[in-house]
Amino acid sequence: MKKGDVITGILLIAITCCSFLFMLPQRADSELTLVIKVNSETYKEIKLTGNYNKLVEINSPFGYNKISIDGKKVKMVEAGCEDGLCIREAEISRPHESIVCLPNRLIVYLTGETELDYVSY
Amino acid sequence: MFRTDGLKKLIFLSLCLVFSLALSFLEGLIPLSGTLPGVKIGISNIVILAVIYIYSPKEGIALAFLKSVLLTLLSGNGSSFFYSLSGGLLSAAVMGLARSCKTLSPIGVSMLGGVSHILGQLTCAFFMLGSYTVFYYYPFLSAAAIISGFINGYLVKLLLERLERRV
Repeated sequence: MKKGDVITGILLIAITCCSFLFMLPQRADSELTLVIKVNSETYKEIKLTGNYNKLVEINSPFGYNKISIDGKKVKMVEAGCEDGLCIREAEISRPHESIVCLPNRLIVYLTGETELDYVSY
Repeated sequence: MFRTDGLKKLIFLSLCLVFSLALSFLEGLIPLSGTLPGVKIGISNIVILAVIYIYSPKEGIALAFLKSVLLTLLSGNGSSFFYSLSGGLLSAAVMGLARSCKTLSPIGVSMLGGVSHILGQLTCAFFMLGSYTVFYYYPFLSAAAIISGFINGYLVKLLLERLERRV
């Protein structure tokens, strides 16, 4: 191993650690909006107020997906893609979290109304 | 042993291409590979990196491009073409550039290649899916990329040493 390798490794690890810090858990604030996008176009936007319990189907030229919204938690329950990775993903409940189905070009993500991206002390 | 032009070079590179495809499929059999989207050991990159060292970045980039095309045709999933192309091309280009850096061994080059691979894929996903939130996958993917980059780089280093002893 050469000196450059060690420097590169340390730099990359440092960047990774910094990026972990950017992902500090955020407060799930009252204004939580669920955005569903297919192929970069907004399919649906739903405001989660806490009493919303529904199954939402997404039918697109790319495939079929079904998500379940349970109050402020969203999970993928059914998908027509062959790998089914999206179903195995955990449920999302906080801003900036997302569930993706790459073969179907689908992304389901939460955004908050807050101006803060992270909390600093 | 390695011709620089002609039919033998073409045949050898074609075999490398097939070998990298075979490694891609072999990866599917490894249990943890593929739990999170994009978390792979990426052993097919060993071939690309080795070609970059044995020949030049040009051949490595060409190999990466052809690998993406063939993988898409073989797996039958149209969307995967853009994801694998963006990651593979950026990774091969970065590794090709890093190869000429005297203070880097294949290990460092491979780690840079791994991280640039996921960056290319995340950027592609950003444009195809249309949300900044895809970048929140970066920390996990980056950790996996650094580790797998280290392993692949070490294996390429061993491979090149053995090849040099033969020549």
